[in-house]
Amino acid sequence: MSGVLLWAWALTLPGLVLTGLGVGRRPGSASLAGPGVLLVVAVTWLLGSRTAAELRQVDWLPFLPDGAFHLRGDALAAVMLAVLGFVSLCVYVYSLAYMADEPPAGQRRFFMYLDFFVASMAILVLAGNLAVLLIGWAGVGLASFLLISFWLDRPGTLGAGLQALAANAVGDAALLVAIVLVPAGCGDLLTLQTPACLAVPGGARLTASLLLVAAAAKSAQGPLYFWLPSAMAGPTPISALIHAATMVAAGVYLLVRTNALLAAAPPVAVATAALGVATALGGGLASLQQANFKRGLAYSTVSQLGYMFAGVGFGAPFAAIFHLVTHASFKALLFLSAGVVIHARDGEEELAALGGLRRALPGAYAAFLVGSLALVGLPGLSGALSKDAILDAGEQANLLLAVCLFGGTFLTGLYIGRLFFGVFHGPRPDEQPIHHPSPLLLWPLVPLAVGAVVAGYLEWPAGLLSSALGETAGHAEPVRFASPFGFFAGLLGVFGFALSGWRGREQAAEPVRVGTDAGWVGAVARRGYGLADRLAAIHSGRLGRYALASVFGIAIILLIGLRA
Amino acid sequence: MLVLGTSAALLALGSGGVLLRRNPVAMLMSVELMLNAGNLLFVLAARVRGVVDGQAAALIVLVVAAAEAVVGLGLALALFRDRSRVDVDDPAEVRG
Amino acid sequence: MSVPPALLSVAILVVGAMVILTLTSRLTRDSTALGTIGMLTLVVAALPSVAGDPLSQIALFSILGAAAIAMLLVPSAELHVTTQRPEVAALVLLGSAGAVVLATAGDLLSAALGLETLSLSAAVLIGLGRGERPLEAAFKYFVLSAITFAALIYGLGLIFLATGSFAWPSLAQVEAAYHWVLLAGVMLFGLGVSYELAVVPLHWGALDVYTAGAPALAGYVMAASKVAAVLALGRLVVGAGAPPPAVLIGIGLLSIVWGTLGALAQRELRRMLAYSAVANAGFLALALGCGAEGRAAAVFYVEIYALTALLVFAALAGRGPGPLGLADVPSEEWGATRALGLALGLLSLAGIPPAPGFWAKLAVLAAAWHAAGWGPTVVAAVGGVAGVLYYLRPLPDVFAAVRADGGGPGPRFPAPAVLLAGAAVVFLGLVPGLAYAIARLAIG
Repeated sequence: MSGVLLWAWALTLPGLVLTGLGVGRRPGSASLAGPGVLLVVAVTWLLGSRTAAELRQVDWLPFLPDGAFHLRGDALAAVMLAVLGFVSLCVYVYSLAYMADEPPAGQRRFFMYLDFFVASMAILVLAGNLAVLLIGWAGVGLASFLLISFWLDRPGTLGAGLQALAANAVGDAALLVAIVLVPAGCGDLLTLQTPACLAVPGGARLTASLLLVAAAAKSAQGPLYFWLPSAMAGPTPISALIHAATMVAAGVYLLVRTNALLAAAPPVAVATAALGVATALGGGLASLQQANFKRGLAYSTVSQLGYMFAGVGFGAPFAAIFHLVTHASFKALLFLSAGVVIHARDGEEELAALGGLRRALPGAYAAFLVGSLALVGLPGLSGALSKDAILDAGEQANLLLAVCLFGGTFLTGLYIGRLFFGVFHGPRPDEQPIHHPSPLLLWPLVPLAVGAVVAGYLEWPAGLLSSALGETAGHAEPVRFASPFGFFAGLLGVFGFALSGWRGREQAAEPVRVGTDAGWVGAVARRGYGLADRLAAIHSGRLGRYALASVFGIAIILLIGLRA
Repeated sequence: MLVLGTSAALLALGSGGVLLRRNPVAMLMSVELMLNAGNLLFVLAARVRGVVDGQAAALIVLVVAAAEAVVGLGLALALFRDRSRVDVDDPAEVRG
Repeated sequence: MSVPPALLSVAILVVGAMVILTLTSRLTRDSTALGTIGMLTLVVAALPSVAGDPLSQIALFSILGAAAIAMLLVPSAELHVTTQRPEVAALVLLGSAGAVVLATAGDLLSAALGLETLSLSAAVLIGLGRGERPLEAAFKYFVLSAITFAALIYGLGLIFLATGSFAWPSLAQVEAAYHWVLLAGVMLFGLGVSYELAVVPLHWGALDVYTAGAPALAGYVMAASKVAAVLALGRLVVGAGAPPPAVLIGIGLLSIVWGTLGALAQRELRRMLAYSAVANAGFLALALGCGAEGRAAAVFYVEIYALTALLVFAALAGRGPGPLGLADVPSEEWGATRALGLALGLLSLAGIPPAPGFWAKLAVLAAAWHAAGWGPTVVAAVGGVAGVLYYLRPLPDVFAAVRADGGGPGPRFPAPAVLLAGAAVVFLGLVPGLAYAIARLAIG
């Protein structure tokens, strides 16, 4: 079984080819088997003997410090694959209905991109060293770009995709530098912290910082958050799978995988925690200001990823992974039920135009309520337990940051309540017709809702998840949920949620400020493109100028070289 | 030193011609002048070093220069055939 | 006396070109015979590599490989006078002969002759293209190459003055008083060769040729000249002391920044590819300045880059010589093979693993880290990843254009060339170690 786990990344490729060749009555149905088998493989491995497997083809890339083709199938990878398989299976089924209005060629392309994404994501989590990690890392970035700009005829989709590429490029550059600067033989993700591998000028801090930059870019943390809200230009199933549940969590995964390195560089760990807390609070505040339904949810994702970063920074990688697992369920649920609403209203996403949909869309209403309560941490639901784990760890590691994070749960309640009551309660703002969702749109919500409720019990009270993960997520001890900290955090969240309901729909739907997206990104882009235009204008096409530049160029280079 | 000085002066003269002349033919002639600066250096260096390779090289470069002139004039003729004004800066459609 | 294998290949190439030129009137009508003679010449010319050293093997394989793909593209090249296809084929063979000489020459004078043969052939090849733009580009390319060639000849004179021979120079064998003469000579000679690489500030002519030349021919010019220039420069810097590598690193970084910014400004695919060729030349120059590992990385990089560029240009061949605005990509007639070929090429150029272009960039970065330190590595890494912002821009449109239900490419579409180059790119992506090992052997 463990051998199969190593090759799990290839499971969606047959579907990709078959869908591309046009097999299947309904475009994309040929791809369905891939994520299903992936889920089965991962779960079977977890329930079975859990023997880790490795594949190492040395000297695949002889010019790198560690150029092996190195795959590692262990508990952490299996858990990530299980989450990937579970959410992607739901999203695939959902997409069959959601994308049904596209022309068949477009639907096939959509599913091929999805298959490519799942394969890349699986490589990412199965990677044994940095080189292989980068294959998955760049692959998911490419898939994200292609899917964000899937609706090319809609304005702004290509720009949103390019924003995602730009943010990813920052992280990729950091990862590239990390790959080449480690000493020869280093690059295995589990041994980056050994003394032999820290023999570079900056030591553990340098390597850990580079990985932190890469992770922050992928997970939209700190100043690199800007691309994720823009990524909502893509189809909603993509927002659920890639930009909420799996790909954006890859940064968290990377930090968990290399948690021993982070432990060897305490200042970077504190920076990680601080970055996470700041993003958690900033994302929550930003969500309150959104006029667009999906963007409000996107900032919620930014904020929740901040919780996970904080968990890793607190030295509790297990808590981060636990929250990653529960968050995947309830955030995918929130996005997919939001998709039902948007689909029913012909693509309408503005909060001002949505409202009072409780009776018209009871399924989406119930699903969104369950997701919201799991998110705010109603005691007993999944989000409560995993957030509790992070707060517990913070209480021991850094009380100040933990208290800030604790206050953040109130924001969580406020913003998700604002979205929930704004969309489903109150009066209908207009009498636009509502298409009733097909069953195919609603059924995938059921397993996700179940997951959002019960995922927490994977850990509490029996400690199943932590014992499965074992060493791979730090020295995970079963979470005790002993402190009242987490419990009160949940109550605070519910209080915020209720407060939003009490304030009523009109106020809630009114954005505090429109257009909160990072102005500096636009400024940098304008400057950059302006500079590029001026540089291109130097190429005037006139031979005389070119000859002048060539002759003087040669002369100057000669002089510089001779002086040196 | 004198060797270097003379040939370098010739090279500078040729480069100056390339940069200042607007007529393609005059520009190509200036390039020939630059090539001959190299030739001068070959011949004089051959005397300094006492080997005849330099003279041979100068002959070869002369042949190359002739070939270059043929191609250059051909291209110039094709490009400027239909133009009333002959200025190397004029054809500037490929730019930006 | 035994003939060096590379020289034998050159002789075969020239003979093949002569045969084609002699039979011009007959071959004009019979394109199959033209292609057969051309390919046959290339295959026979590759045979001597069996007996060759690694350097001549890699030179012959990559240059003749590029020529073979170009030969497949000859029927689809957009020419001013369509009866001139035999001349085009002959020029490809002659240019390849020049490139092989430049890459493998035993002495500097031969290398200079090879370079001139290559750049004259290239200028004429481009000039034969249809329309005013190729001619204009060819003329600029020619004049600027003549200027740098004159500088190269002067540099050769300086080297000869310093060493008394035309052998590949070594600083260690020159008396101290002549050190600076040799240094100046090596730098002028190196800059002359760098013209073929298209690094800033010598990129102006090449930029226009890559933009405006018929795609089939521009791709070949780009590939052959870069391969030959990298091999020649790699041999030149070995014994040249410290300043030339430092200069190479400097102009390499300048080219990376310049090419990246220029490409970001473009709204036209060909011009964007041309600027990106400057950025890639920057990677090559940077690698060449980074010691033995760097030289091996440069050879590895150029093999992959040349092949990928050929793939992209082959996918664009036969669609007409005009510009292709990024906004016009969706309305272009693509067809599955062409679109997938272009997409694969763009992915490799953008550095998306496991496409080989990414491995090449990593190899250069690893060498730069060891030889040049922090600054250059970070600049190159950022320049490398910034490529995704322009290379991937047309990609969604290209994928969207792949339709199972027709919308195929025109009759002149060179499917064999695209398939050949595409297969080679895939192979290099999956088995990069082999190409790197050969590159290491070629230039230590």
